[in-house]
Amino acid sequence: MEIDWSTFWVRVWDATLETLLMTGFSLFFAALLGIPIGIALVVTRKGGLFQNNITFTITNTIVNIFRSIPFIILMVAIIPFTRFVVGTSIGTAAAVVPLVVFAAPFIARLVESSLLEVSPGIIEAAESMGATPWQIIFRFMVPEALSSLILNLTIATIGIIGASAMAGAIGGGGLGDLAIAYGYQRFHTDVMIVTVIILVLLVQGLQMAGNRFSQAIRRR
Amino acid sequence: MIVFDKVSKVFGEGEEKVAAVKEVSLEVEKGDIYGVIGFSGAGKSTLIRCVNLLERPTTGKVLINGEDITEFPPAKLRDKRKNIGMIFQHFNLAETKTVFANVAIPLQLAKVPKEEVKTKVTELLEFVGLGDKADQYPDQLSGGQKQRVGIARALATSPEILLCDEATSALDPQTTDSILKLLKKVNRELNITILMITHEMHVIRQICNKVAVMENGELIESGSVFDVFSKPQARTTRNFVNSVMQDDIPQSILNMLAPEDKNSTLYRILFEGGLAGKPVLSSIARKYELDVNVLHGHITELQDKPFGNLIVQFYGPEENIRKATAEIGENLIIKEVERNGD
Repeated sequence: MEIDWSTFWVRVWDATLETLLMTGFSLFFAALLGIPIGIALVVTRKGGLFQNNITFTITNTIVNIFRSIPFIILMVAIIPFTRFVVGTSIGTAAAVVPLVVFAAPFIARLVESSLLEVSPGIIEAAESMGATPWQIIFRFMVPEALSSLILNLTIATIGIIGASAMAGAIGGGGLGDLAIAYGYQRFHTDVMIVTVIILVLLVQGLQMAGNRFSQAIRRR
Repeated sequence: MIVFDKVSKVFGEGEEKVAAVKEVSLEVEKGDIYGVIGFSGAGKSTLIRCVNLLERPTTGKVLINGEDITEFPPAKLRDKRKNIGMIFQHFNLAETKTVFANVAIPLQLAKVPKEEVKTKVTELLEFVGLGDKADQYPDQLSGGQKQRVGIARALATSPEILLCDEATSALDPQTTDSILKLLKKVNRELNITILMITHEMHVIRQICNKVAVMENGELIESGSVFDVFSKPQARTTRNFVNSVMQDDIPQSILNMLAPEDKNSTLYRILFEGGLAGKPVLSSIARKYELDVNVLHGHITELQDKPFGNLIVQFYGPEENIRKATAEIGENLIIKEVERNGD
């Protein structure tokens, strides 16, 4: 069966929107979870502002465990949890849950590495001014790391787009789903090429925007 | 003002235990520019951090205006820190903020109203000579300018004490001079007590009135700059003093001595204070009918007083030389020069 491109574009457009939506929501919730965890990893470590060995070790281990599970397995393994959260395990909304579980620890690591780049001297200066630990985090560490945080969040976003393509396997919708259902399973190479081109453009655009934004913050 | 009472700091535990500061007792009085000098690793960096408890002493007390700050609860300590400014070797400025914003931070932390912040920051930037740089970013400034921003920032909360952690060590000699002048101005005009650590003796010579020498975590010598420079006791202190007083006799001068004089005694005469202006040497030489050969010398200024030393050789009867040196010794410090084995 040939594909009628005059009507198929609508499918492509819908799939693109689904991908953007999935990525957007996943990024939002993953950042909501991941940023505090990343900050926690920095401040509870040895020599940190709220040094706490137990909290650090536990958080660090959990992050590592989730980071080591391949997304496709994670997605299937947490189906009961997904069902509990969104009421179903199929569809775009259902894909967001495993994407968040996948991306949050990733973002936590990226945030951690960004914050660790902040020179200890600035933190020392902040302490010498009588700043509270919270002021040190939000008025010194985060602003100084912002440029690098944005670059790292760009990396995370692109990671989420990549992972969201796999969500097609559980009927998550989006460009990945389209590529698998038409391009792979029904041998429509043209659909495959189109989806890949769209994904490439998306990633290119995002990376460029991320770079610009990060640069803009670094210099005034 | 600042009293260290048997302050010790130990890092690490068990086998890796390192005592960075050992039982240091020291008093900085109001109005002092107190310099602590030592080689890297001597513990001076740790010591200065004990004043605002960036490092907490393992044992001992740190008194500021008579209060033991090691017993302060966190909130009270943070309040106290606003009364103690600090500047750093690597400036530690917020790179993403303008000069203005950097100086404003301590005021914002103290919840000072916006208008007041603006007035105060503008005034501070004028004071440190950066009135025209308010909107620049740290990476557009030279090292000296960055340190000026650091100083303005440290002064924002109108502290009584300023701690300088190797504040000039990353700067070239000329810039160092200008920063030292600024620090002196801070001390005099704003009446701020300064405690500084450095490994450069000329920094001490230039602005300090008191000095302490640290080695391996211990305080080995302390006193007025004048006393320590004129009568250094410990070997390390002597080395530091020599580093700026250049009172080692150059080999070229020793080579110039006549062969029969190679082993004759050389004397070092220290001039200090008012006597540096009097013709002591020539009048005594005349009195005992001696010839004086000045081989080497150096006169400088210490705490606004002339200070220096001369290396001389006397020609004449042994007896007269003995009497002459004794008389010189009544008013000045005169020592035989040790010539290390050559």
